[in-house]
Amino acid sequence: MTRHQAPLTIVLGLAAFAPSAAFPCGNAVMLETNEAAKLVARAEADLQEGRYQRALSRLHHGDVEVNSQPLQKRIDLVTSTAMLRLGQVTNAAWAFDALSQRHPDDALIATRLAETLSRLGTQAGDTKALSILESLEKRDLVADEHGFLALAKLRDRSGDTEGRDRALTRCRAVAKEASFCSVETKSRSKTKSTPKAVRTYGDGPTS
Amino acid sequence: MRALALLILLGPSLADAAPDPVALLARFECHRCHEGTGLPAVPQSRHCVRCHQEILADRFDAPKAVLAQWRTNLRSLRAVPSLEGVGRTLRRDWVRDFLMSPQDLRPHLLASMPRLALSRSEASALALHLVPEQRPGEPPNPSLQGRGRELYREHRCADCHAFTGSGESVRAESPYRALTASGGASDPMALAPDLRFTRARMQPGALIPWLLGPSTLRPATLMPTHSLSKADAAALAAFLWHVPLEDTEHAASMSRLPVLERKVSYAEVERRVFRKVCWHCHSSPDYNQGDGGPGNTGGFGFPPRRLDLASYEGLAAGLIGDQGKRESAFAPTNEGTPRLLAVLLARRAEERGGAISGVRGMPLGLPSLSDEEIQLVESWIAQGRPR
Repeated sequence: MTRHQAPLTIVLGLAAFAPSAAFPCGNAVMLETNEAAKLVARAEADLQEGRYQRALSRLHHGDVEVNSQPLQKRIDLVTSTAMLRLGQVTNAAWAFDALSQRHPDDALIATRLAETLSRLGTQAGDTKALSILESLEKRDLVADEHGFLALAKLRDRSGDTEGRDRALTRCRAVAKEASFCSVETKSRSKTKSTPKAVRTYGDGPTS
Repeated sequence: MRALALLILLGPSLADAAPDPVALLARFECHRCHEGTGLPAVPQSRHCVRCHQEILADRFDAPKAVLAQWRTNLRSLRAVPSLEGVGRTLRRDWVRDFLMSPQDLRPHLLASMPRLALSRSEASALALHLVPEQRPGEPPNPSLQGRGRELYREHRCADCHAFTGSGESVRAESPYRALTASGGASDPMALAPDLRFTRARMQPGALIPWLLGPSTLRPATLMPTHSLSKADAAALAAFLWHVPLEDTEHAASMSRLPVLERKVSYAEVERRVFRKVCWHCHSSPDYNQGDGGPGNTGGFGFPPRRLDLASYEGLAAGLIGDQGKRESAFAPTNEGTPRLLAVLLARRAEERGGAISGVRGMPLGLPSLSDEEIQLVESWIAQGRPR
């Protein structure tokens, strides 16, 4: 647990997740029967809907026992993401760095880390963020529109307008609202993404 | 490395040794579905069928409203045949081939034997373990099949059994239909195989003894003992063995609908496909003490693929590929088809008796998705995978 999550009142207990409680169709069972899992899922839903403060509040004030290390990872991820979206970029960068060291193979955490680094306003942060996101993009593993938008902004800052537009196209294809994917720049191109009703998958990874 | 060096030192005799079948049964976790494996029992929470039966019987520890909802949805893995005594009736070669390329034998069950990740030598070792000896015997006398058909009808075999291609179908007024529909655990109809497969599956010398006393060969069978004389059993066996069978129509569609013009969102695909079918095996391990199901953290002999179909970001984060590196779930196969779509299409091919090299059909051991469901997934991918 990071120092930023110290106020979490979720108590680490022993009873809620005994190892023998593992079910093959686990999510279907746990999300209906386990209070800790339900709480975290609700916080994640808040995050998806843009209710960042509420997501944090749920986790901080939830009176639920958690002793699952994997669930703690999820709590950390929600907390760090909410901090990032609320503008606490330095704290979020610290938290995502710790998370990515514990889970180096997690593409979602890598995307979030890069997004956070891109908002630090430092050259080193930009360089590392660009490297992470371009590696993910090459493998078609950028987790969501936030990752594509961060990539577009980084490329815009580095003068790579073609790469920026490519990232914006993917961002618009993925995002619920295309207006989410905008980069404030004078050199912005008119690239637009429209759903394609053809049997091609060309909006996938950069090849 | 040390193991490899030891193997080289010991030479080819050990390297070529047949796989240990008991270790294979454990590796493929056969005891999570089947009784009669000879392995120690698994806890109920890891036993697919017992767990489902607890839900159906309202004994599972969950709120009543949740149980009621689950019972409505729970249609698979409500009953599975025991492996006890299979060696007294089944052909060894058939068992090997079935393990390599499973067929849907039991029309009243939704789930069928999954296509496991096993080699031919492993399948042979398991078949030899399950069928150590084969009963000698000749096929039944074909001249008795006319009387056999009469007995088939007199003894109401079609109350439980399909016999595809024989002209005999399951009776619409079978007294077991309601029991099967409600998922009763002791339902003889649920496990009744399509008798079309009898001549391929059974040892020729086992069929008449089986008809005379099924539970003496397989104690856990739900097949009732009918009062048959030896002559009647011989006639019935002749009918099952020799009646000409017409070719069957494969239920699995091979048509592919055009991608949709309308917008398809992740929310729709999740509701209609991922959450309905996929996430039971490809779930988030975080919610379940690190167990994300066989399609995520591994199980049933499958290595951990780390594929999480419980959320948009989980799916976007890909899976661990054959090379041990994280790859996109949408990476094109050699034919240019996104992998997620390729596995759905491969399941149709498996249902028709074919397997596609390098692609395991999904959903594993369940009927393929409908044309419309596959169209939905394909359209969503083609549109750039919008939320």
